[in-house]
Amino acid sequence: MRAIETQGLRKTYRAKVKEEGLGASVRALIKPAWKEVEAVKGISLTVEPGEIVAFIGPNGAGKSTFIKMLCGILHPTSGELSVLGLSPASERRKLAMRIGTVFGQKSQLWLHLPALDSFTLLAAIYEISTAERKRRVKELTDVFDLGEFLNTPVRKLSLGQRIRCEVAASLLHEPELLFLDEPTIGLDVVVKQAIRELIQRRNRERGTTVFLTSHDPADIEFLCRRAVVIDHGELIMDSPVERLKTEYLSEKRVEVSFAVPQDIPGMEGVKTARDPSSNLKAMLTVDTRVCPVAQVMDRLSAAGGVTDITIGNPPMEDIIAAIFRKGVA
Amino acid sequence: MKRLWKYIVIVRVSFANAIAYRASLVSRFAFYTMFIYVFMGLWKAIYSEGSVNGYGYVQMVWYLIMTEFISFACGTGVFRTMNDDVKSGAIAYQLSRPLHYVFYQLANSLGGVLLNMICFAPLAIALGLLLVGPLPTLTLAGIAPLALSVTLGFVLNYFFLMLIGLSAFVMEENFAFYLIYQKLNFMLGMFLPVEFLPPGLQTVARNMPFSYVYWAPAKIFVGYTPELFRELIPRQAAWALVSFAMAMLAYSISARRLQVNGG
Repeated sequence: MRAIETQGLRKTYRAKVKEEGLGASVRALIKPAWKEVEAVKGISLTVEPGEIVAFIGPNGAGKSTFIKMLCGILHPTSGELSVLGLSPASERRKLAMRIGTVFGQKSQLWLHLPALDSFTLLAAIYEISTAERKRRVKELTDVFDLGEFLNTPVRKLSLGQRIRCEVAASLLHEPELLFLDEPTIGLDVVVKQAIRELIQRRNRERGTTVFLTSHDPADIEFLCRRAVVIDHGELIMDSPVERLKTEYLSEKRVEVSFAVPQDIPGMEGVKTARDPSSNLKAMLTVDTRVCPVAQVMDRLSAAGGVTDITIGNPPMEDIIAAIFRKGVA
Repeated sequence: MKRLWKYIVIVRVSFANAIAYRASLVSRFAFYTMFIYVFMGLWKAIYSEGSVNGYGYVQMVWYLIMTEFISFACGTGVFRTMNDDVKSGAIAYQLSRPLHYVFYQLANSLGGVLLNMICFAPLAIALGLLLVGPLPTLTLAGIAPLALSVTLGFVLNYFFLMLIGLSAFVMEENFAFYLIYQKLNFMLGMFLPVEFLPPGLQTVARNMPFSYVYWAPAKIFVGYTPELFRELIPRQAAWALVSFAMAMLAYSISARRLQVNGG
């Protein structure tokens, strides 16, 4: 049995359209105009149990709509869909017992109550016995290091602490399949890495299938072995992350600040752009296949006067644009 | 049993959550007191002599205390909660759980209602006793029918509000429906007993669900008789059943057409 299987999955919805101005508003009141929006255009995809799949695409690509159909929240307009052998639309509650969800921008915890109370509530919802709930909460508390703030009202937690509680909450019923929709959004690098390690550990130890969307290429690099890219509701790439890394994630961005204006040494595979607002800053785009980042760091340090260096990935939008430029299908 | 137990736990947690809104509770106490005081003045002026439409002055003030108690204690934010859930996309979490959404919302609201009832009941009784003294028509035999009537009124109001809230699944803007519903409730029982309406409108009001939210329980409270019980309770029960059935039907239809906003 496959974890996820879709065949020509589509989702179309109606959206109101209105032109600018008062006249258009009055006209829209009398005779509203609608347009059909095709959020997902016939996606066919299979995911095997135990896989960690990155499901990526720019904003508005249809990622969340697709995930919500997989969870049974939205009903497909047409196409075939099976998740853990069940039909999400007609067997939503049965499926819900076996899947976990984290929507990074929303909270499933009760804000005014400690996370522990939300865990108790979720355990009841998932029909977990008291003894089993205590055992699982203890285990998750140890793994996610929640002990210090488990009894603190959720509204008083930092974002990182809250997300740790959110992910722990989604694992309480030991789901076979975990949908993570932007789980690391807004977190600092240290917490992001901690969350990634926890997800990876869960996958390794329990064989939990993970279906992940993220705008952070580092999430995908660290966690996933396979990447599925969609845009405008269509699947445009389904490939091993290794290939994505070689072809699209080989580029790193190095942001460097100097104490005094400084010339950047020329290096093969490195494009330099000066910050127009300050001659003390520069952005280097490094093709790591030609020039390793360590070499760039050495050359910059040798130039002297460096006060700060930040190394990052190109934004997901740039990666998607690069995929389009190469015409990968 | 496990299936029912989850909804009981939701009531318990939502009760605990409602306790966190202490400032809101205190400000609503003040608003409730002010409301009763202002309308008591109005009725005092109207009742300068005798009784009106079968209600004495003291009965009228207690009628008002009861309808406002139902409004403040049994009223829920289910319409707003559902609207917000759909517009913010938070509904995704509720629908990804092994729960029936309609019963989840009911259980989620009951915690707050229970807390409000516990807090507002002593205030309502104290205000009534302080302002106009005991209700002379209150009998021990009328207590159980009153409790039943308040419960039925709550159920029918709750599911009508849910019905309006469910329209958010398929409509961009549904506040107008809520406003109309609220005003109908206000005019057909909450502020004025149905007997105060013109005869033609009285017939309409008695055949509509709105009067059975406030008027029926308050009427049973201030003038309980077995005949009144036999007249009002079956109608309330019927409307409660209709509102529940309509909410369930609307949910099964609208869930298929849900559009969730945001990422």
